[in-house]
Amino acid sequence: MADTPVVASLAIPALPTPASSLSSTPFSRLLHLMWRERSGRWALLFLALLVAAALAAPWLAPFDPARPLDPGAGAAGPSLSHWFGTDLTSRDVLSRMLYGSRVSLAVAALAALLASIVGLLYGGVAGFAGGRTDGAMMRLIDALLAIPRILLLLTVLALWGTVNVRALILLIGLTGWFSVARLARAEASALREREFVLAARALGAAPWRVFVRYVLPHATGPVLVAATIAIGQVVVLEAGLSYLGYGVPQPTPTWGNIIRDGRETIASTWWLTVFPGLALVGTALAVNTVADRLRAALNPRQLHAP
Amino acid sequence: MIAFLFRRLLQGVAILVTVATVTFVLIHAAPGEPFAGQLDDVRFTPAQQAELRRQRGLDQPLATQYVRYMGRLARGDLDVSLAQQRPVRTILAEALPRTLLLMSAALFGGFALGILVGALQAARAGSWADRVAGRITVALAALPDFWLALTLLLLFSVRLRWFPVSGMVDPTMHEYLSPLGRLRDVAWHLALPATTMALIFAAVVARYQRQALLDVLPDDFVRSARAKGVSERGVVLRHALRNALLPTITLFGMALPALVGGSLFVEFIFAWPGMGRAAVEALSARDYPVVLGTTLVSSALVVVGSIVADLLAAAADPRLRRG
Repeated sequence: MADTPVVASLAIPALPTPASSLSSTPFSRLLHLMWRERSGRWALLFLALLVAAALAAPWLAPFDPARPLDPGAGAAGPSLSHWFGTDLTSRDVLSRMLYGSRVSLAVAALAALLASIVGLLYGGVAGFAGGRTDGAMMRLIDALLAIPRILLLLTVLALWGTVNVRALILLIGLTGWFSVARLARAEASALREREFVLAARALGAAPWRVFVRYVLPHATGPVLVAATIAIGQVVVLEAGLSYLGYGVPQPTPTWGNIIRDGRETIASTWWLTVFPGLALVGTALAVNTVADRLRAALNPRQLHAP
Repeated sequence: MIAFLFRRLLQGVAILVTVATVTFVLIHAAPGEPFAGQLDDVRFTPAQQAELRRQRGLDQPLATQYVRYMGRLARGDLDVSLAQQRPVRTILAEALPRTLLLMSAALFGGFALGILVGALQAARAGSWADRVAGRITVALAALPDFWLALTLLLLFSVRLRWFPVSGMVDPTMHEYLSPLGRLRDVAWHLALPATTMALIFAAVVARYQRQALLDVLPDDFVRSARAKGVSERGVVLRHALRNALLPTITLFGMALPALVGGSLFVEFIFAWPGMGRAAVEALSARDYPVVLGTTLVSSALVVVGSIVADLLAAAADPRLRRG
């Protein structure tokens, strides 16, 4: 690879595709584009507040999330001292939600990151390789996408037994990359025939180098949108799994676990279902809105699509 | 059209074979050996364990086991439930029609409501009503299905007592009802679970339908219809809608995995005795043949559904038949 510096110095166009390249769109410009629309502004503000609240949970939480405040008292509805009420073992729901947001958001972010990396690599390799390799790799994705994700997860959980948080992140991430791979494959497949990729190849750059230097960076734009959507999906998925009792192990508070705590007494303890649920809905909505704005910002032709 | 159908069926079979292979890999990649729960039982002597292993074919090479596994599945044998001691096929044959009833009610309601809302939005694009409906559909589409199910249950069954809390029929009265009364009983129990799924699906359909209509409204045939003097409502409902249905049909195939997954939570919460509930109950009993069977049957459902969606789309648009 003596000639790779030459390839690098030809360092291809500054603005190869304004449509899909992330490298041409600095982070601040992206933020600015999202901020321009009112919905994007609300969503970003909501998420910023949420992350800040999760980080500052130890200082913000009025009570210890694990300690029963008045053993034997049972659940109490919202009041001035407990805004979101207390649960069946007399723990403060607001404090549990604040601490729970740390777990819920961390699981979502890490699982989505894992799914994006695996999907980007798998799809990128398939699209870049082309031909039969591409065909075979994508048929596997077709099959994996036909299995409803929650059932794939439950199958694995049934076979593996209960899992800790780390294994859960791994499982959710490894069952979430199929659609990302499809996206990345489409991008890489289109990039394969682009002049700057052909030029790099013609100059003798090894395939893996062309892949890492020229194909992957240009496929990140759409994958970033997919990753954002994935975060919202995982927040909801983790809550659903925890609700069924197969997510984050108790007694760790997560939004799903709090809802699970109230499932037997739902008729008399509505606050255990409603407040964590609203946090879930708000987060999913905000993340989807950000993904929507991000898509528009990365693809100016769609800027005015709804 | 026949060649198209044949090609799609072949693809569907290939996908199902891959799905079955994936499940085989999952079973054997799991820590410990399959049926560890049974085989580890201390009450079994080593000789009995070896006998059980031989009966299950676990002493054979992996390749032989794979061929046998695929052969069993091809004959529709889904193994025996560990907890219920009945064939998984029998359990799922009872549960599947109930899940299909729930899903078809949800699909029908979702499509009807979604197309209606989407069409009304497109007819008055940019208006105050369009914007409000847009906000509502975005929010609805983001709702976690299990949370919407719990909220509707809380509101309409627990507080207002309009609908039953759980089950598919009234446990005591159903036997004594007239045929029509039984039908009403099932419909009454079906209302909330189906509405939960239909509302979320309708929101997605409405967003698609609105955009699809706005995409065809600038077309020539729409202008001709307007020039003929067709009212604006007639233009949207009679001329444009027919051409804009195609993306929505495609949506049917794409949304199926999520709908099957959503039905799992909804069935669990409303105690609807379908496949999803069977899977969740089997999971708590570590009854993995049932969970596995549900996964395989659900995937088959998704594959069949996507073939149906493709056929509908091809029927609606002859250009797709060549693809």
